Amino acid sequence: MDEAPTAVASHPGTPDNAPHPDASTAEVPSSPGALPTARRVEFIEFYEKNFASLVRLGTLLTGSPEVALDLVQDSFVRLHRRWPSVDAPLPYVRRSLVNAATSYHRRAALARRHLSTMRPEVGELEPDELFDALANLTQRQRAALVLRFYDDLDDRAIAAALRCRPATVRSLIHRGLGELRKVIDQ
Amino acid sequence: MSDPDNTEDRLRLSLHSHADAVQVEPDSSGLFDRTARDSVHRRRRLGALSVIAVVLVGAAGVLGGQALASSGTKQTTASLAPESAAAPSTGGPSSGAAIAPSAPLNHLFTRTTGDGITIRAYVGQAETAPTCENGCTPAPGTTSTTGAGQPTPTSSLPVPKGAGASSGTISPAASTGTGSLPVMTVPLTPVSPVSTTTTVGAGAGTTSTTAGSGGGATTCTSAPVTIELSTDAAVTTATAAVETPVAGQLVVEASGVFGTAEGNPASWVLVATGSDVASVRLGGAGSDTMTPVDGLAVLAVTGSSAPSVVALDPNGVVLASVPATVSSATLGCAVTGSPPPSSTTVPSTVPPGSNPGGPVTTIPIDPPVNSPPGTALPLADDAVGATGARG
Repeated sequence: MDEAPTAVASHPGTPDNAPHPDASTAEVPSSPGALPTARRVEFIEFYEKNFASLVRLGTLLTGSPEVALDLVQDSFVRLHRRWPSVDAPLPYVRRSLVNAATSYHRRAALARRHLSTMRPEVGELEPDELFDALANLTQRQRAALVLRFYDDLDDRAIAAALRCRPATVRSLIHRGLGELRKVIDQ
Repeated sequence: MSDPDNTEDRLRLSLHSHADAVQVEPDSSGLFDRTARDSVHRRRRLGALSVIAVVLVGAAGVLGGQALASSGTKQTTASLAPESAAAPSTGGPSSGAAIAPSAPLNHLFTRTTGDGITIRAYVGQAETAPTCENGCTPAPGTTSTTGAGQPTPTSSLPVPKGAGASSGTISPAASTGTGSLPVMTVPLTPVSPVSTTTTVGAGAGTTSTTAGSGGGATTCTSAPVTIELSTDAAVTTATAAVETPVAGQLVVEASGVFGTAEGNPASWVLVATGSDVASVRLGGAGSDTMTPVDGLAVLAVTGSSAPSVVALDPNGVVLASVPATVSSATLGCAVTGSPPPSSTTVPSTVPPGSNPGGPVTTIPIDPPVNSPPGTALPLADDAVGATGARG
């Protein structure tokens, strides 16, 4: 079971904390979660708005769209369980997704070692080859780089997602970029 | 060396190109199916955990209940037989009639001596024994009398040499931890009816015990008296069947020593007095004095031996003085003869099984005050031929 985030940090500078839009959709799938109708509408709207971007983020974190899709759905299930009490749902689900990706990589350590043996040969680096080099980094370095250079999050938001200090985020990004430069220099 | 900005730009380009390649559509129905399954699984897990918790709590309750029940049984047993329970805080011999109080006890008095010994006395329901025509009814479980003409000692302790046919051996067993009173075995020979009285000469300073003839009136009403004594170092309890004495009598019902093991011995004596006794006190230095309550008094003093007990009238005149050790004769019912007109009678009592009308014998009244624990108390040689009367 993936670990659910235990705390939700508020990040005023990000668009994640925008208030939920009012319920205006009549087609609301029923769920046994017993959410009130208004809350359910809010949740569905949040889900439809952020699902694709979170799947892309998950793909960058895990390297597999299928795995990312599964992890994002699980993250939304956990969010649905705590939807009434979560003030900032996007940081919550992002953190949940990062935790799920970490757990996935922990379980798939053998596969990761297999990927590490598939280093690209030295030559003109293509974006995919850089992405493979990204897979050789540690999970935290990879998550920090993805959240910085794909989601354009600041240090505080990344620190909230990784449950670490902003200084640690800066260190992770610095070390991760250094590893990527080694690959590029080769 | 690569350009840092170039590396970051290439990484950003790579990430966005990979992310843009992912084309997914939100699947609300799939999400809620997953949510429903998650809810069901959570309920099942919670149900299983609840069942496990209930089973564990029930098992713990059963085990705890069994433990409490076993400990409660032990406590009940101990409370039902407090006299047989051993307590390390008591020690030393005690003498007197031991009974097991079965009726509720009434508080008689509580006092603290000058030596700091706290005494609590409780009295139970008085019982009247059947009329004793030829003797007294011994207190249950306190004495045993051999058959007629069978001077067979029943004690496990040796009979001292020189003890005649009428001599016996009082074998005070070591008291139990709670100060239970010993069982005395008094083998007796059948004698003619005896009424023993102790005559205290007024002001003469001499005492003698006279066993008078003639069937005396029997006093067979007894009540269980439980006393609790405590010092800073030890505590003890004792129970004795106390007969109702007549006027002028001073009967030592029980005595003992406790706190020996703790190095702080204290001696105590339970006496029954007649209605004309205003106060009783222990003789000697550091004496303890109290006014009898309902004819009962408990005196205590620090030390392993208690001196004599003195009965005083309201004017402070000494009415009687007896050793602070229980007489074997007090184990039975007090049988009083006709008291001399000019003297106060301090009744000795006739041992169970004795017959009235026996010869008059004088026996010494000053036996050793207290004997070491676990030793036999042979009757004085002077008592030989006293036809069962013992001082």
